[in-house]
Amino acid sequence: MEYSVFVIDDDFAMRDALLTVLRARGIRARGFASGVDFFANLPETEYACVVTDMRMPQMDGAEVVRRLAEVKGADWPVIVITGHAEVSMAVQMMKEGILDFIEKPFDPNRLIEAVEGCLGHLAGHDVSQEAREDADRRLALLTPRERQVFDALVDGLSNKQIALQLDISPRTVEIFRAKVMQKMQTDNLAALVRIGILYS
Amino acid sequence: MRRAWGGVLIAVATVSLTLIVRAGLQLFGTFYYLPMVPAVVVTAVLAGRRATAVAIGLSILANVVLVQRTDAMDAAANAVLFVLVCVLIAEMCWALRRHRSQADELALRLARRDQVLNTILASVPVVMLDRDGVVGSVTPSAGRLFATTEAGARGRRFDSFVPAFDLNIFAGDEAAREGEAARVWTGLRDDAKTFPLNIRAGFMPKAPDGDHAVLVLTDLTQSHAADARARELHSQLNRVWRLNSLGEMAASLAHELNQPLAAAVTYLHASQIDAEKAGPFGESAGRNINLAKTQLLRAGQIIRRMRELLAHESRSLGVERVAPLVADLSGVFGMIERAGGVTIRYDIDDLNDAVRAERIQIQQAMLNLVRNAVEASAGREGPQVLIIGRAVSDDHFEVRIEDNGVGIPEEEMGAIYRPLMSTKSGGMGLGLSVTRTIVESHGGVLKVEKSALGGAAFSFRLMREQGSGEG
Repeated sequence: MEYSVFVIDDDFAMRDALLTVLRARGIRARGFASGVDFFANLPETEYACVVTDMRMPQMDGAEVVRRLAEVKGADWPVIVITGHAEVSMAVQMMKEGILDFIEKPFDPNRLIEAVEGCLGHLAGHDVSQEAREDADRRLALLTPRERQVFDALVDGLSNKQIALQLDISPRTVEIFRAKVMQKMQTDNLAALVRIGILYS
Repeated sequence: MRRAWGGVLIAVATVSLTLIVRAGLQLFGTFYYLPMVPAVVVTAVLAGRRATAVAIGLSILANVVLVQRTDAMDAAANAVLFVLVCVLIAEMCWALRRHRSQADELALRLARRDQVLNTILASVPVVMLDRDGVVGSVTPSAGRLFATTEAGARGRRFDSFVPAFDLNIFAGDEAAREGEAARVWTGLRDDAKTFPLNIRAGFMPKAPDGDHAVLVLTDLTQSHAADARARELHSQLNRVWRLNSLGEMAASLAHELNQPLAAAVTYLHASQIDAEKAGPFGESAGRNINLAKTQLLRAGQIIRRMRELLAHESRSLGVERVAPLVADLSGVFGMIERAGGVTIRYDIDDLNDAVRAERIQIQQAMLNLVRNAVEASAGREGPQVLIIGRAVSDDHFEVRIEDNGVGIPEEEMGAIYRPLMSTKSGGMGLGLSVTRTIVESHGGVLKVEKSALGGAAFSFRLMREQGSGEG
C-alpha cells in the first residue's frame, strides 16, 4: 500500500524544503499552507502521516491535532514540529496521542526517521514488546541522578527548570542529559518521552 | 393676615387704653393730642405700618368725636401736626429696630467664623512669628509636630525648629513666594528626629500685638513615604520589564530565525541526497554540504541556549490578593494618570480576590494594560480607564481593563500580540506580547473585546485560591 505524507506549515520555504527532502527519499508528500486550507481540502486517503508546524496563525498545531483526532482518529498519526518554547506542550501532546515531535531547527535525518517510523507504524510493524525490553535494559543502566533527570525530561521540563528542581546548575543538567541520551541510545527528546510513556 | 389683624387689635387696644388714661388725667388739666403719642409709639414698636396708621387714624377720630374745638381750622392743624410727629417717631423706632437686628446677625456671623477659625487652628499646625523670627504662639498640633508644647515653643527662634528657615525668603515678591510654596523643608523635632514639611507664610504688616507672620505647616512624612513606595515599585517594575522584554525578544528572535535555519538545513539535506545519487562525483560536494549543515545546526543550538538563559520559565506562584496588589500600584497609576490627564476608576471585589499569582509579574501585566489604555484614551473627551476585578466562578477571578479610547480595528485584533508589531509610533511592540506571556504562564488567556465604554477591553483570568480567601 502506498502512504502519503501531508505537510502543514505556514512558512513557504520550510514547507517547500520539507517536501523536497521527503520526495528526495522517494516518499509521496503534499504541502498545505495552513490548517484551514488542509481541512478545507482534506485528501481522500485512508491512511496518511501528517507533519504539522506548531505555531501558525488562525489554526495552530494543537488545534490541527484536535480536529484530526475527531475526523480521522488513529488512522492519520501526527508528527509535530515545534519551536523551543513549545517543548513542554509537545511532551504533553505526546502523552495525549501524537506520534512524535521534532524540535526546530532539526537534523533532516531525524525528520526522515520520524516520518519513516510513522509510515512503519501505519504498515503495522508493532515493535512495542521489543522496544519495551530494550528500554528496560537501558533504563537499568541509569544512575539514580540520571534517572531523576530522565523523569524530569519526560515530564517536559526545560534544562533550567530541572536545574531548579534538582538544585544543580543548568550546565550540570546538560551533562546529565547527554549521558542519559547516550545510555538510552537516542539523540532526541521525543524518543525519551516515548520510553517514558511506555512506563507510565 | 392674622398678623395684620393682630396689629389692628394692638392699635385699637393702645388707643382705647390711652383714652381712658387721658380721661383720668383730665382731673389735672386739659389734654388734646399729646397723650395719644405714646399709643402710636407703642403700636409702632409692637406692630407694623398698617397698625400704626390705624392707631393715628383712631386717635384723630377719637379727638374729632370727643373733644369739641372752637374752630375747624384749629382742629385740622393739630391733627396734621400730630400725624407728622407720630410718623417721625415711628420711623425712628423702625430704623432702630432694623439696626438692632443687623447687629444681632453680624454678631452671629462673627461667632460662627470664630468657631471655624478655632476648629482650623486646633487641627492645622500654625505658628505665629514676630519680626525677628521668634515664635509668638503655636497651635497644639504644631506643638505636637515638633514634639514640644505650646508653652515650650513660645519665645524660641523658629529656625531652631526648621534650621534652614529664613523669614526674608517669604518676604519677596509674588513669584518668589510661589516658588517657596513647593519647597520641602526639614523640620527638627525636640526628640532630635527630622521630618519633611511644607511651609506657607502670610504677613500682617499692621498687626497690633507684635505678631508679624503666620506660618501654616504641612507634615509631608506620609505623602513622602507613599511617593517613595511608588517610586520603588516603579523601578522594580522597570527592572522586571527589561528582563521580560529581553526574554520576549529572545523568544521571538529564536522563533523567527529558526524558520529559515530549519528550511536551509532541510534544503541542504535534499542536495546531499542528490549528491549521493551522483556517486563518486558527488562525494566531495556531499561532504561540504554536510559541513554547512552542521554549522547551521550549531547556529540553532546557540539560539536555543540564549533563549533558555533569558526565558522566564519557572514562575513561583504564591497566594496573592488582587485588591491590595492593585492598591499597591495606585501610586504608579497616579503618575500615569496625571501624565495622561486620564481618570482611572477601580471596581474590584475585595472579598473573593485570593488568587495564585506571581505578584510583581501580574503587576507588570496590569501596568502594561493600564498604560496602553491610558495612551489610547488620552486626548478623548472625558478620557477614562476602568479596572474591574470579579470572581467569575469558583475557580476563576477575572481582571478587566477597559478604556473609552479609539479601540482596536477588527482586522488588527489578531496581530496585536505579535512581538515587534506596534500601532504606536514610539512603541517597541513588546508590551502586549510580554503581557500575554505573563498571563499564559499563570494558566490564563489574554482576551480583547470591545468595551462598553467605547474603546478596548482587555481581560484575563487567574486561578482563585479558595479557603484563604475567607481568612
